Amino acid sequence: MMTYEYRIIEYPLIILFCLTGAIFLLCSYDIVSIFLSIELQSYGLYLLCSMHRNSESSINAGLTYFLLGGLSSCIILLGISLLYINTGNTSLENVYMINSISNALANNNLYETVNLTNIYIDIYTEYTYIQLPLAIMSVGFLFKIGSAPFHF
Amino acid sequence: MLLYSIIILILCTAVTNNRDSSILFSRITILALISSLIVLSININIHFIHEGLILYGGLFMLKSHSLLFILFILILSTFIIGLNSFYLRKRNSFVENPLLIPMKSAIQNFSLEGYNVKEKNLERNNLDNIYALDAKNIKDNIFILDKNYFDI
Repeated sequence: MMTYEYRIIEYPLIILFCLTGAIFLLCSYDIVSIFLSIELQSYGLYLLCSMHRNSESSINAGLTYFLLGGLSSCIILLGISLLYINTGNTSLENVYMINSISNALANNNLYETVNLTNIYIDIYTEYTYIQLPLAIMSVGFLFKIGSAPFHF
Repeated sequence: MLLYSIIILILCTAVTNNRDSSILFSRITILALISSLIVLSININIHFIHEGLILYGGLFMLKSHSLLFILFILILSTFIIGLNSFYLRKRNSFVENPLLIPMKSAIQNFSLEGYNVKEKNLERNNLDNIYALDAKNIKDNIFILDKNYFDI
């Protein structure tokens, strides 16, 4: 008589999906691709948590993990959308560039409203605002990986 | 390689009648992962990977030290699938279930850590950043030059 775990044929397939998400996460260079690869990885992990179908605690753990993962995805998306509203791009390199330029200008006491061909840019506001979406995204990422201040 | 393996495994699990062949699928997955390891270790020696390879208009970026983290994740996943691909004596529950959650945390943490290491060593080679650098020069020079220069 074969035991239960040797009759689940989807197990290596789900592991491969998690692995693909992890590799895409390592290669990602844009906030959108980071979010998509984290979701690809997380959906495989939700399935892995609730794979033991006859166990009540396994289903409970899978459902709890799914709900908390959805909540953390909401927080990450909130940070991404705030960043996109302010800066207008989603590439990490551009966000880094804008942040460093604003930081350099603010350190040189050059922050003021600049009239750049009829577009008003408040550099100091941009520099202080860009920290808020990054903090929200960091909270979402820590929530997603179950790290220390947000482990439930 | 991994994507082809996933597609073939989906086809195989969809058309099979024998539900007892989980060990067979696990061993095939291990073979696919070992093949991916070989291909990846060859790809590390390609010269232009050290400079960085951007895919899909900046959505993904591949560098040599992210390949090392991918190599580590592949070895870890081969070990995880190997737990379920051989018959074990006197054990009748999921062997990997106590191991799975730390492994999952390790994979996600190492993904994010490798991502951070990659981000610290970036070189700026995106076209949007050239635009941003140009805009920085405009912002610097606006205190020196006449503002009518920009109204052309």
